Amino acid sequence: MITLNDILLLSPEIVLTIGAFVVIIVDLFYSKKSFSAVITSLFLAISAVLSVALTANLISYNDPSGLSIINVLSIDKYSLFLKSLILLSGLSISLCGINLLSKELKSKGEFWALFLISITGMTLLTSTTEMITAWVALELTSLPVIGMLALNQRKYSLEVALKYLILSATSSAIILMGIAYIYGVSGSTFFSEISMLETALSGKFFFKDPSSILILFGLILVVSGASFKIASFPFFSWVPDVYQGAPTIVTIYLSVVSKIAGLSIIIRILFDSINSSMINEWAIYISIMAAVSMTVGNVMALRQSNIKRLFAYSTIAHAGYILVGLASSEPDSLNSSNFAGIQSSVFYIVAYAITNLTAFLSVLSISKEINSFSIEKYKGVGIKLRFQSIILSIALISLLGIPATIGFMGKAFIFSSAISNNLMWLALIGILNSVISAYYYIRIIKLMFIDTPEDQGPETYSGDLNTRIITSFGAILILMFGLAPAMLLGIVEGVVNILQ
Amino acid sequence: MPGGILSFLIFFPIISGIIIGIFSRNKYLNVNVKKTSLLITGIQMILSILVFFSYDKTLGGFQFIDYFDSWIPFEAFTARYIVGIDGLSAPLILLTGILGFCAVIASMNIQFRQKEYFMWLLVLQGVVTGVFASLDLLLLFVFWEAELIPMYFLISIWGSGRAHYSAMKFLIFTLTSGALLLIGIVSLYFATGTFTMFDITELGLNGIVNSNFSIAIPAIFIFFIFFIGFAIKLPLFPVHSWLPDAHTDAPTAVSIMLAGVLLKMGGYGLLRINVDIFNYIDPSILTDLAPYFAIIGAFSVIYGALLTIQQTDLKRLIAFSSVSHMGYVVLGFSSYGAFASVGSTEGLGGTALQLFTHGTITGLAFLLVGLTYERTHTRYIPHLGGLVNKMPLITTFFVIAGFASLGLPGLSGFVAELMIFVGTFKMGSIWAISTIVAVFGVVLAAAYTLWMIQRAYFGERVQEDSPVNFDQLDDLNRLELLSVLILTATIVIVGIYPAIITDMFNVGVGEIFTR
Repeated sequence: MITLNDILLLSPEIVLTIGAFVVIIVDLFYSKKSFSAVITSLFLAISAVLSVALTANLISYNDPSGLSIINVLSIDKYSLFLKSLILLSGLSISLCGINLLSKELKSKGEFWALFLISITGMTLLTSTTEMITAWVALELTSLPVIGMLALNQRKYSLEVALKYLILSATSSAIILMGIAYIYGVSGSTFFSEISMLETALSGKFFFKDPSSILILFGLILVVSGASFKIASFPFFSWVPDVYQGAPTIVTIYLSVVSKIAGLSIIIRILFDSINSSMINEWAIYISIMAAVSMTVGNVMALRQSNIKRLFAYSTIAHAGYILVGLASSEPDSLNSSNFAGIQSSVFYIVAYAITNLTAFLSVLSISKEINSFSIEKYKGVGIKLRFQSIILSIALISLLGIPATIGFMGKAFIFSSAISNNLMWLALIGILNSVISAYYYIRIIKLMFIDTPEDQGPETYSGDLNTRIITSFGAILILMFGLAPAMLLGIVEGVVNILQ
Repeated sequence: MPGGILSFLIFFPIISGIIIGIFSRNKYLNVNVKKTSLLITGIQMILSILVFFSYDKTLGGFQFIDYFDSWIPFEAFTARYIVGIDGLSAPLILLTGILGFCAVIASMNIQFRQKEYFMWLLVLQGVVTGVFASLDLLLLFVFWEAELIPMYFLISIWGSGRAHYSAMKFLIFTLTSGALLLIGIVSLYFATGTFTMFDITELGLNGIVNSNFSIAIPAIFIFFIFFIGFAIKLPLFPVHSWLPDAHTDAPTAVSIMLAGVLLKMGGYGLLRINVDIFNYIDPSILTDLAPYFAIIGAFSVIYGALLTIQQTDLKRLIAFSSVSHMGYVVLGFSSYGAFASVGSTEGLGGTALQLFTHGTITGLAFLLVGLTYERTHTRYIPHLGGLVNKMPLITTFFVIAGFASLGLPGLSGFVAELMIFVGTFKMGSIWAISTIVAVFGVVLAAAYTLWMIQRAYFGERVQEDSPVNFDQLDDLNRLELLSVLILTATIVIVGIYPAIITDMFNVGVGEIFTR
């Protein structure tokens, strides 16, 4: 029986779904250039407000500690927090999209409707507590993206969409295979029941008990499949091509929102369903994923000449940093100073979302003005498009992890948790990687502010107002949380406690 | 002194620099940006002198403490904002104040993107002050890394030659050093549960010193991580290669700050963490490794000096001489065991004094080279010569700087080197041999310094094919004379009456062994 309370808890998703239909219907009658983006932003804003209000307990509902709806969804602090993050990121993307969505796009109504449906899938993904529901939600997020990629009129958009489709289907198949293994051993697809079985198994020796090997294998398959969403090893080969070929709005969406959603489900599977009794076994796999992602991402980014491609590799690297936190979440570390890695991971996710959104939206706005995504063309932009360039530089410095920015705090927490969990080698790899990354991040800043432009373009560019407002807000957050992370840390601590 | 003075010294230049930068399109500030910066750094200098002399040596310990508890009040990751100075850091705060003022004077001819330039220069000064004043390791690290951004822009935009290359090289090297430091700092944190370096009784805080130390990683590994991190910054052979490039291509003021203050961060870190904190954690690491440090130090002295002799670019020559002089710092550092065996702290005291004197001497040398370059437009030594006829004041002061650098008695360089030699020689065996080798560094220093002065400033009048317009050269103006005089005065005063600084350092170094 669905009560009013349930509807209230699901209101963000309900609003989004209604929004998707409204966008399509309105587009039939009134197809003015950017009207559908405005409607999308409106619905996203309502949904985000509802979600933030639920997170902050502004709207009172019956069970504040978390509520299961037909056992498959759990609306708790964790899911509401990530949901708010997803919705706010989506909102800033759609607001910037009002003016900046590329003109080559054929039908904007459909595009924004698909965008809303995909975001609905992501918000659902954060609260699933059952394997099959999680899989359905994952599909709900990726299928609309194929449409969004294919709607572009450029000649290789179909190629990009096909590439995404094939790899997405493969990863789904792998996830299903993993679910099958876990179901085969535990006889259940509910996280809570799997975790009970795990506790029963935990006393036994790992290699002597075949069922725990099967569960571990299933778990590795699920996480590998989900790595498609967060663009990390082993499923990252699609990232550069798709990021480069996609309309930039979709690229930003994939690099920020999709990554939050993917991590939200990985964290839930690792900490909610497969409980900590097997952490020693899977932590090795996660740390390998982290190490490979960081290294490949950073090394490949060094020689890129297209800024979208560069950011593609940089997001792979950042997925690696986040996984470092997950790999070092052993509950009982050597000293009682238990700096939970998962807390640092969630903090880093927030840091990454704010920073990458700010950086990427600035790139979108700048590239729109100079009409190119080639990094070389950024020469002298700092003088012509001063404000946006300063914001982009702040975001890049934060991605690099220089103090006084949120990126530094995130990296400090991540690597501290690795060191406190005796993963010194992983911390070393991570820190050396962030030194490598200095080369390509600083190169962009150098081109913008230090080099003089080659051709004599217009004196100054105007830039997009929406982007300017949103990114300056992002830059303020970057510096604010970078200097005083206390507030955000408090929230993250409360959010993560739900899982433990 | 009123409370909050150290925070003022840190944040006043940063905030005023940023204000200058933000209002860079404002017409009213436009004219006065140089005067404003001069005023700001003048205030800084006077305040740092006042702070230095109001430090109570009889009381010792940390003074002028500013404290803000809830910077990162996370239960498992608590970092605090604590600044304060003791006998070790007070002279370095003074050094930063003096050189910051001289650096602004040396920048009076900057025309290109002026406001940005002074913004970064002021931010740099504040941040470096922060490094010396921090008593919380994470805070220290924040300042340590924050120094990168101003330096990168200063070298890259206003530098000469291969400025972009040098700036990037500087950035990568310093980031590596910072990365190592972060690992070390976090390891120390998990070993002891605090970022606060020392017990601060007024606030009831327990520091890393005097906390239980337990971590799976061997302490010697953490020690090495810190040592390499600081050695890059110092710089020590074989990780010195960023220094000549960065120095040569940086604008004059930045060379002054780089040689005078930024290199001192490495030496200060060695004393503060590798000696001070590890003296508590495991003194045997230091005593076991000390002979190797003596050898590396002596090698760095000779190697740097031999490279210096071959240089034909005035600035590059002084840059390489810094490598040689920083070798003495590591040599003095190796005399750590002297206190336990012979009960003396000359070596460490000399190390600290070397940091201070090298800052003033090399600062003066870079300032004068910069002033020469502004007039001659070349630093290539064979193109110079006979400059004394047109620039008697610059030449005179350059001779003083050169003599101080080669350790002439009566000037400050002599005192520091003598203390280091005495301190290490007392230890006997490997130390004595290293000291004997390192003494030849002084001979080589005499060779390259005097030969360089002879070729560039005395000797024949410039040749026909030289780009120098000999007849149009002029000497120091009043403002430049002021900055040169300030630095020369420091060198002479410390040379004649070294107790003014060494008393302070003795307080600081003595406390290392009594904590």
